[in-house]
Amino acid sequence: MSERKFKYVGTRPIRPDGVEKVTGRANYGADIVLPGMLHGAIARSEHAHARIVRIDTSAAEAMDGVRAVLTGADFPDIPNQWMGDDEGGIDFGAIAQNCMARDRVLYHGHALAAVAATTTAIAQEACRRIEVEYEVLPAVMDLDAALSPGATILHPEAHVRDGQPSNIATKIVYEGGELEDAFAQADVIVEREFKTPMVHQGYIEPHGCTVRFNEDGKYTIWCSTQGAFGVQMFAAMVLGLDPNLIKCVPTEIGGGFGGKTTIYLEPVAMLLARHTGRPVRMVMTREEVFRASGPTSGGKVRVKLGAKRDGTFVAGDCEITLEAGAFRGSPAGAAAMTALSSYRFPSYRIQSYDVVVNKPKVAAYRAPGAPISNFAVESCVDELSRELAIDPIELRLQNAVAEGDRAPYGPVFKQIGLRETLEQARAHPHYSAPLGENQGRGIACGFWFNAGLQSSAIVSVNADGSAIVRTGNPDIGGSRASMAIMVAEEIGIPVERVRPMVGDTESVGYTDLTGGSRVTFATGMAVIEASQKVVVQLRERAAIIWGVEVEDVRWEDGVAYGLNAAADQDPMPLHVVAPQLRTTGGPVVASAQLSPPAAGPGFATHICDIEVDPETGRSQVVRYTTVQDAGKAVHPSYVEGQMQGGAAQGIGWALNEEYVWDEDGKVENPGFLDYRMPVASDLPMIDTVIVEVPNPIHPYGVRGVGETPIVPPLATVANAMRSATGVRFEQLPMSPPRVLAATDETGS
Amino acid sequence: MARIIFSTAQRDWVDGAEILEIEAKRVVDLLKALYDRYPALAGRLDHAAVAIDGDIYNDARFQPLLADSEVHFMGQVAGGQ
Repeated sequence: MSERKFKYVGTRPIRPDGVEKVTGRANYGADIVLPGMLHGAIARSEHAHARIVRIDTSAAEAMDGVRAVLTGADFPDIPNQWMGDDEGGIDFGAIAQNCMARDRVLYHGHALAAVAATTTAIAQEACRRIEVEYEVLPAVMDLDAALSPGATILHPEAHVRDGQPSNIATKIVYEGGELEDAFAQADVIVEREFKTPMVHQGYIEPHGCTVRFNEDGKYTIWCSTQGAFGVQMFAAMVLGLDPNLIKCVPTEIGGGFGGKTTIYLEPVAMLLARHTGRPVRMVMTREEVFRASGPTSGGKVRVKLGAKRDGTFVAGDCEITLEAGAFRGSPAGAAAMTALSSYRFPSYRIQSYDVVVNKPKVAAYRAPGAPISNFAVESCVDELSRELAIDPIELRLQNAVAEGDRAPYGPVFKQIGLRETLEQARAHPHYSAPLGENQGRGIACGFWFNAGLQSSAIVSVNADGSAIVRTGNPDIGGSRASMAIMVAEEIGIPVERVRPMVGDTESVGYTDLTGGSRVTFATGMAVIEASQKVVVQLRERAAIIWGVEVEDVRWEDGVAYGLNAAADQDPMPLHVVAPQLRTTGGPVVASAQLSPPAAGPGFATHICDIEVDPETGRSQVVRYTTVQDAGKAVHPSYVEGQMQGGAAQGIGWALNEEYVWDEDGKVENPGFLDYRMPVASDLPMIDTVIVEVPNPIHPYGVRGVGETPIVPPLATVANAMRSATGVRFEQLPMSPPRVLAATDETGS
Repeated sequence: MARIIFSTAQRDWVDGAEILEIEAKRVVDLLKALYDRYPALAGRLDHAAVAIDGDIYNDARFQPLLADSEVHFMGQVAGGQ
C-alpha cells in the first residue's frame, strides 16, 4: 500500500466546483425558487422555559397573504425513545419537539408556530401577531444550576438518577488500573478545573430549504445539509411518514461543521406545503441560527494527572460535565473517549455527564466534545511539563500512545502517527524560533476517531473517454475533487476528464452523512472499488476488440496492453476504446457500496505563538503551525485547508467565542457583530505539515482529516497564553477583559 | 473464543464481569449468547458501535469474529466535519 506510486493522488488540481462558486452561480439552500412558491417563517419562544397555555393564531390567519398557520397541535406526537446505548444515540421524539414545541418551550427561540405567506415580510409579521400565553417556569441556565439540590428538572419523566428525577441524562464511566494507588506513587500531581462556554459552529450559510408537495403524497426537499439520506429519514420519523414518500436533493452547502447533520425547518416546510398545496421555502435569519440551531456544549472538566519525576505518567482522572441543551444528547461520550487517549495512563478514570439545561439543543460540532476535554487535559500536561522542567514535546513523546497501546475506551491502537506529529513539530523551525516581547509559545496534541459508516458510488465512462462519478455525500470539504482524483488514479485519465457529482436520495445508493471525517476515506473506498470494476470492464472491451481473452489484457495508466507478444496489438488508450463501447457491449458503468470500520485514528500536534498587550489584555496569534497525520493526502490543498480551518475555529473558541445570556436566558449576542469569530485579518497564515502514516485499512492509506485539527487549538492557545502571561487560564474564552483581569490580579 | 471487554458502565449488566470469553462466529451470535446469559443486558448493545481487534464498526451486527478476536461495545461516534 505505502509503496504504491501515485500519478494523481497527492496532486493539487483545480477544484471542480470553483467556477460556479466564485461566479455566484452555485445554488445553496436559499437559492431554490419554484413557481407559486410561498415563504415560511417561524414564531419563537420569548422565554427560556415556559408552559404554553394558549396560542391564538387568529390575527395571523386574518392577514392578507397568509396561507397557513401551524402550531405543535398540527404535528404528530412522536414518542420520546432513545435509540442507542448510553454513549451515543438519537431520540426522534426530541428532534420532533425541537422542530416545533408542543406543550412546553425549553429555550429562548424554541419554535412554537409557523406561517406560510406570499412574502417573507408577511410571514414574519404574521408570526409577530401570534398571541401566546405562557406560564413561565424557572429556567436552568448552567451546569451548576442544573445539578444543584432542588433544581428545576427539565424532563422529570425521562431522566432518573438514584431514584430521583434528574437533569443528568447520562453518565459514562471508563476506568482501569488502581487509581488511588497510582496517584499515591506519583511524584507530581496537577489538578485543576476548567470551564468552556457554549459556542456555535458559525457556518456562513444559514439553514434553508424549499419543499414541494405533490398530490400523490410525495415530498421533494431541496436543502443545505450534510446528509440527504439523513434528512429523508429524520423528516419521515418526525412526521410519521414512509421515507419512500420523501426525496431529498442536497444543494451546495456553505459550511456545516456538524451543525447540518440534523433537521430544523424541513418538517415544518413539509407540513406548510401540504396544507397550502404550494411549494414553501424557509430560511433562517442569522439570529435564528444562533438562537435555535445546534451549538456545541458548554462544559466543565476537572482533571487530575500524576507523573513520576522522570516524566512518566502514572494516573489520570477526569470528570466531564457537558450541557446538552434542552434535550439529551451532548457529546459526553466522545469527550470521555478522547480525553486521555493521546497518552499512556496505566491507571485512569473518566466520568462524563450529559446534562440538560434550558438552552438550544446541541448538535455535532467538528470532533464533538473532544476539544472541551482536550483543553483541560492538555492544559494539565503543560503544567506537568513546567513542574517537571521537561520540554513539553519531550514529555509528550515520552508518554505518547503508539501502535499496540490500548485506548482508555477499550481497543488497541493499530498504526497511528501521534509520535510522528510530535517529532515533526519539534523539528519545525517554528518550535525553536525566538519569541518577542510579551509573546508566549504553547503546544498541544489532539486525537479524533474518524468514522466509517455506509457509502456508495457509481462510476461510468462516456464515449469520449471521460468519466462521471456520483456519490451521495454533499461536498462540504472538497470531496468532489478527491473523488475525481481517485477515479483518475484507478482508470488512468486526467483528473479534469472526471466529472464528480453529488446525487440525491433517488439517484445514488444510500450514503451516510458528510461528517465524521469519513468521506474521502469511506466513500473514497467505494469510488476506488467502482473504478476498479470499470477497469475490468474496459479490459473486457479491449479483449473483444482484439479478439482475445480478458486475461490477456492489462490496463495501465489509461491504456490497454495486450499480453500476447505474438499478436499484433498496439497499446490502445481509453480514448480509442471508449468510442467502441457501443459495439462491444454498451455503456461501462460500475457501482460499489460498503460499510467499513472507522477511518483510522487521527492525531495532531499544534504550535502557537501569542502576543498579549499588557495594557488592554488583547491578544494576537502571531504564528501558528499544525502538524497532522493524514495517512495519505489525496488532495493536499484540501487537507491543508481542513487543518487551517480547524485551527482557526479552535483559536476563535479559545480567544473570543461564547454565547452571552441575560438573566432570563435570552442570547444577547445572536449575530456576528457581537459573537466574535476570527476573520482572516485576525490570524496569521497558518502553517501546515502533513504527516503520512498510512492507515492500514484503506487502499491508499487515507485517514479522516476534517475534525482532528479543531481538537488541539484550545489548549495550544491556552498554553501559549500561560507562557506569555504566567497565568493558567481555566476558563474560555480568553477574551481581553478576562485576560486583563487575570493579569492585573496576578501582577503579570 | 472471542474475548469481550466491558466498560465500567456495561459491567452493571453482566454481573460485574470485566472480561468474558464466548464462542461466537459473528457479532450477532455473540449478542445472542450474551443476552441469553445476561437477560438484563438484552437489547442494550443492539445499537452500540463494536470494536473488533481494534477496528471500530458502527454497523457490526454481521461482522465475523476470529477465534481470538477482542471485542468492545462502544458508543456510536460519528462527528461533524
